[in-house]
Amino acid sequence: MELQDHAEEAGAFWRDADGFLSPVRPGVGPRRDPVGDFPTGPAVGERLPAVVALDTAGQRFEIEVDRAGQAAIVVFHRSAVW
Amino acid sequence: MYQAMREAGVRLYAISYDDPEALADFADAHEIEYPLLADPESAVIRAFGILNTFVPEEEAEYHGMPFPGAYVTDDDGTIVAKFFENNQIFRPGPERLLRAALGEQVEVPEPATVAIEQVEVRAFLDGPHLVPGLVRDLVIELSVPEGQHLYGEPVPAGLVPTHVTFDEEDGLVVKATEFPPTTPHRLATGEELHVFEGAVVLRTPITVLGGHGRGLDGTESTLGLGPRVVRATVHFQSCDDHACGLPERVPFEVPVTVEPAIIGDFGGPSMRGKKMHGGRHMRRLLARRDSDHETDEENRA
Repeated sequence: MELQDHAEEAGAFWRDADGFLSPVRPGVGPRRDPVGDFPTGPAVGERLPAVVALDTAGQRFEIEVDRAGQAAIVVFHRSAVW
Repeated sequence: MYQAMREAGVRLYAISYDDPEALADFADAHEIEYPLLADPESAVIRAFGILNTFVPEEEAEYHGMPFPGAYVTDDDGTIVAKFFENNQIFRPGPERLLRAALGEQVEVPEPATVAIEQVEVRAFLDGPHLVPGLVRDLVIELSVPEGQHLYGEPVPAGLVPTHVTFDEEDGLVVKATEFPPTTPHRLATGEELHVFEGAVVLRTPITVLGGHGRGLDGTESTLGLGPRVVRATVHFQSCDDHACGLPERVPFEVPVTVEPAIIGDFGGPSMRGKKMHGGRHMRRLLARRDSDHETDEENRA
């Protein structure tokens, strides 16, 4: 797996390989994106693995229990902080 | 959009390596109604096999983040679609996620109620606005008169397959157009064609560059925000069983507004919405570095 570190200076920002501007230089800190294939977890057609996490009150939260037989969209995002 | 998901019987969850306290603050600041789930030890992220292994453990404030992406399951919990991109700035828009969850039950176009003599074209953005990095569909609906058809790939030599081209415009990012399945159509000569008939819906995922943020020196950027126009052309050739019309090019313009993304913030003056205590949460992430080291020392002791 190869790290995407293409970066062009653009004032106070960096321009990445797709043209997006960011205050963080691609290839360092949180901007560590892959080139080409990278692990994307379980495949289409497989069962969603168990997701046991904490809710915003710090209590145990299990998606399989909460969704109660409904379809689910599960988004793994980078961070709500930065 | 979350209400639309609920009404459609689809549950939405967002999970990250943040602490519950940070997610509680974010949910409050941005009035998030769906569950924000905390995976501070990245146990779920590791179990899924999507830990971003580029980030070294020493960078504890970022170590534990995933390669971001989304899974969509059916009622049984079987994954029916996945959304992962090489660049973490691309995110699937909620309309694309909901469509994946509902499959063919959504966006079935109404058949034309009046007889039309020529192909009619309608174009719109599937979503209220564009957001830099958020991928939404530019939808083109073609109404094909009864008895006529358009061509999908592959086409015999000399015929024009249905396709869309976008004007090269500053900051517009265009991904590959998604076509509906073609219908086999056999001519009297025995030749089999791949055609579109009736209401034909083409979807092209698009987004825009730019965004709303602050550089490390405090410079504000509002690049690309505000109203703009997406210009494109749909190309097709309509035929019936006896004759073909000339290849057609129908240009169109879709006015859109580009709005800033809702992101975690550090209380910057121009960020949208109520403020969260981003600086405090970032310090907690940085402190993971120290606590990890303490744990290492305890382990060695």
